[in-house]
Amino acid sequence: MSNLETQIRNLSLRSPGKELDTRIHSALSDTTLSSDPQNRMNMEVGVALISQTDAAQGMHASRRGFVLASTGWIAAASMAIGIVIGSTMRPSLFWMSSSETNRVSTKAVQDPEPANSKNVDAGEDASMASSGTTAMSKIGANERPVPSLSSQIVESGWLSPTAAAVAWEQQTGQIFNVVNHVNDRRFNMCRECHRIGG
Amino acid sequence: MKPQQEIVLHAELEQIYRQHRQTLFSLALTITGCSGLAEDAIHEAFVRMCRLTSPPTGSVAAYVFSSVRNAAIDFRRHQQRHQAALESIFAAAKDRQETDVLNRSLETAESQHQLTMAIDRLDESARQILVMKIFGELTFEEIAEVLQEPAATVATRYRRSILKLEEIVRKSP
Repeated sequence: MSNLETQIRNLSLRSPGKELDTRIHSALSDTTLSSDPQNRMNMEVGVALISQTDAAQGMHASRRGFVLASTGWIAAASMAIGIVIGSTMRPSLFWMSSSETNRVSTKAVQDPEPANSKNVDAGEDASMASSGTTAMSKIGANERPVPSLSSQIVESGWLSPTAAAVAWEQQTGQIFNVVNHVNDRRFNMCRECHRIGG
Repeated sequence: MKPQQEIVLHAELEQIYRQHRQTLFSLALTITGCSGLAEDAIHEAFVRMCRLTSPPTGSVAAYVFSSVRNAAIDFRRHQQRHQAALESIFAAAKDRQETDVLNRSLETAESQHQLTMAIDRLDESARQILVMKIFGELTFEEIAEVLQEPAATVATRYRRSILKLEEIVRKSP
């Protein structure tokens, strides 16, 4: 090495800060920790624990979602049941409100006095009614069974003649006799009311 | 890379850092011209080397110098977009005076100041070779590996730089 090279070597250089040593050592030690098999295994265990925690949290979230979904289904089912019950109750309430009218009809059944009502009877239909609807007349209006949901369509066609019976009684001054009342469902009308003016 | 190989490499890297800490910093400072950036470049280079998937082939010391040089070049490119900073690789005049007053005569201090000025005037490539050869004590082959140039070319450029410096020192009063 020449004299100049020795002179250059003797020159004082600018030194790096001590922070650099810390940074380099931390970089090396971090990676050394990760490269150590035992530490790596511990880190993997830690990762596994973290993933298990994540899975548990995810499961908790899914449970929460399931609870929310089931609550929604329960609410929807309750609403549907409520609608069904409500729609079933409506006709029965109607029958309760129109019980006064029907009570008049039952009086007519019990009372043999108004024989003129029998004059109004139609021939063969009246015989059918007297034989086939005797049981029905015995039940009476208040004891009329609550119509089911499936029979509501038929019953809806059956309501108008009943309401028309009131009008018929007002017009004719007679008492409506349920025995003579024929509900021909084939034509969706009350023949008696239709014939006399209902 | 196997864990055992990683441990060996990291131990080697730590040893090289301890041995060439000053030279690596001077090399990075030669390129970046800023001590802060030089430190960042060294740190970045070591972080990159710690993430190696396979051990480097050839001289590990040359690989470390090459990594630091590349990182410093990256930092300089980034820095040039903002501002140009040029710091000498040598200690500041004030610091140098404090040590020189204690150890050397004023005449020697003056000649050394001339020498540092001359080195600072050299082109960057020549300064890099000078730093690696004189302060890092790398062989020409290793320097050639760092610079990715033929060893003969590196040796020639080094000798030319020394001759140029001798001439500058000789001419100076």
